[in-house]
Amino acid sequence: MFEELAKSTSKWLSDSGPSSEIVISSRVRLARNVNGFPFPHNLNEKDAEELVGLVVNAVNKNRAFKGSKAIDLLALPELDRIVLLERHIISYDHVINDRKRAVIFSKDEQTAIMINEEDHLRLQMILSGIQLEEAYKALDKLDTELEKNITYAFDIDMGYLTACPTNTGTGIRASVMVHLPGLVISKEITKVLNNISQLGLVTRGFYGEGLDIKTPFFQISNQVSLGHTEKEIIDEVHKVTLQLVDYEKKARESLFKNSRARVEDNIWRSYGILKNVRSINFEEAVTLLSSLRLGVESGLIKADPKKVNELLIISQPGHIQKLFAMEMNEAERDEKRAELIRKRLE
Amino acid sequence: MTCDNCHEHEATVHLQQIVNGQSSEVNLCDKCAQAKGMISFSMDKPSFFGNLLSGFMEEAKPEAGDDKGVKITCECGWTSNDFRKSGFLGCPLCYYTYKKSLGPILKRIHGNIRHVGKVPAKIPVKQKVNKKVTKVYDPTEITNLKSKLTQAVNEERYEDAAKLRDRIKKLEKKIYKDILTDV
Repeated sequence: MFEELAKSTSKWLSDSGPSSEIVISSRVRLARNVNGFPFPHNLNEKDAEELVGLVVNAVNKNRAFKGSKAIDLLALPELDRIVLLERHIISYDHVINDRKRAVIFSKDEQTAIMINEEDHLRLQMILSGIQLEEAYKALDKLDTELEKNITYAFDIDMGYLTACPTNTGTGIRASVMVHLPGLVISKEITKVLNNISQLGLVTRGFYGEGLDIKTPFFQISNQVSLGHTEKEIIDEVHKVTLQLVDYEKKARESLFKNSRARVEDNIWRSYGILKNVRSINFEEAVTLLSSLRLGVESGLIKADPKKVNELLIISQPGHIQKLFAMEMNEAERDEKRAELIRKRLE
Repeated sequence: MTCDNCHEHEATVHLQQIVNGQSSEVNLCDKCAQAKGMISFSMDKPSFFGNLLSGFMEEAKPEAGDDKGVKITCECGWTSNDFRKSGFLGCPLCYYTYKKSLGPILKRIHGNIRHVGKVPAKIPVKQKVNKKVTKVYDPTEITNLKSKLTQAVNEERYEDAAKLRDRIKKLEKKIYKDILTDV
């Protein structure tokens, strides 16, 4: 499964939304549960089966998923699950769990619902660039539609009831994925990220919680979900992101002004390596691609930014194996990754 | 390995201490460790999140009416201990079962305990877990009154606020009655 999917580019990566030279994407997710059922981790097999059936039925009626089918993750091979993870369609938890669970996503991969993950439903919307408000608007509509066929667990005082009290209330998480090479090179990044955490926002590495890769890609999201409206939460993340974009722009400007030779050298070297490499691990690939992305976005290197974005996704281990249609060990993957990158940059 | 203290029971707590650069190991059984106040190193290692919920058990115990620490168990089978250890609730009903202890936890996480965001068109009335048909009510009236109440308070119209508060209470009582007859 997913051979075609792995070859294609997710819409949120190929579009060029506002500020997409720095903000790769905006993502909003809503956590919802069905009343009358224990939370996923506490469901017995029979109830899990019933719950997934019930939610899939309700979701199937929705127009957003026209032409899409719910995918049973218990029946899906591991490599396919990893491909979905790498495309940000499902979470790591949804890959490794062994309970009955499903996912449905729209053809353009912008809308997805994980069923029976940490909560019964996790609705998500990803758009290119900074578009949190637009993403929430679309999700809110989908949520209201679903509500006609599902009675959500909700309390008038506490809001949406979720498996973990960190999501209670609105059940909302608004996040942006940002590329901040300017702030990293100028060593301003620690200061900036500290400031962000003082504003009550959370920073993570771009490649999820499981992988600890230190690259200039970050994910920033709200922490609090209770006591503020969805709009307030989204506005806060939006506001901070705009500020971040401003800082990054200034950092890039000053780098090109004050250390032009060094920065350009680094970008061209990275480009040179990527075009000639014969074996490369994922971390090095991401580091060099980050540098190349900076070169492309600042007009130094003439290349399609979409191609660079796409390489950030398809250089991941699952995609490499899917694209070459075979299981590989690490050394083999590194060779195929190099081959793939060289070809795409020709 | 037997306990270094009583030399009777199996040692289950292994503690490594480093004092002035000298490393020493102490092996104790549960009982001795507890007596020495070291038990937190061995039993039920609470997760990071568990720590956040640390106030929970102290509050839950007296509620259970048993100083031996009898657990509260929700209808879904999830115990106060499960909650403390994992940081997760077992079902939507747990929010009511553990309501007293949950308030301070929500406050600590969110700085708030009251939801002000989206309200669905129908709200389930609290009821048993795994019930096939869910009883619901329309929240429009109660949310309208609540927003009017906030407005009245903000505008310092306290007489109106008092009236509104009474109406909300009455309405909530009616919903609560539904809950009672239902459970």
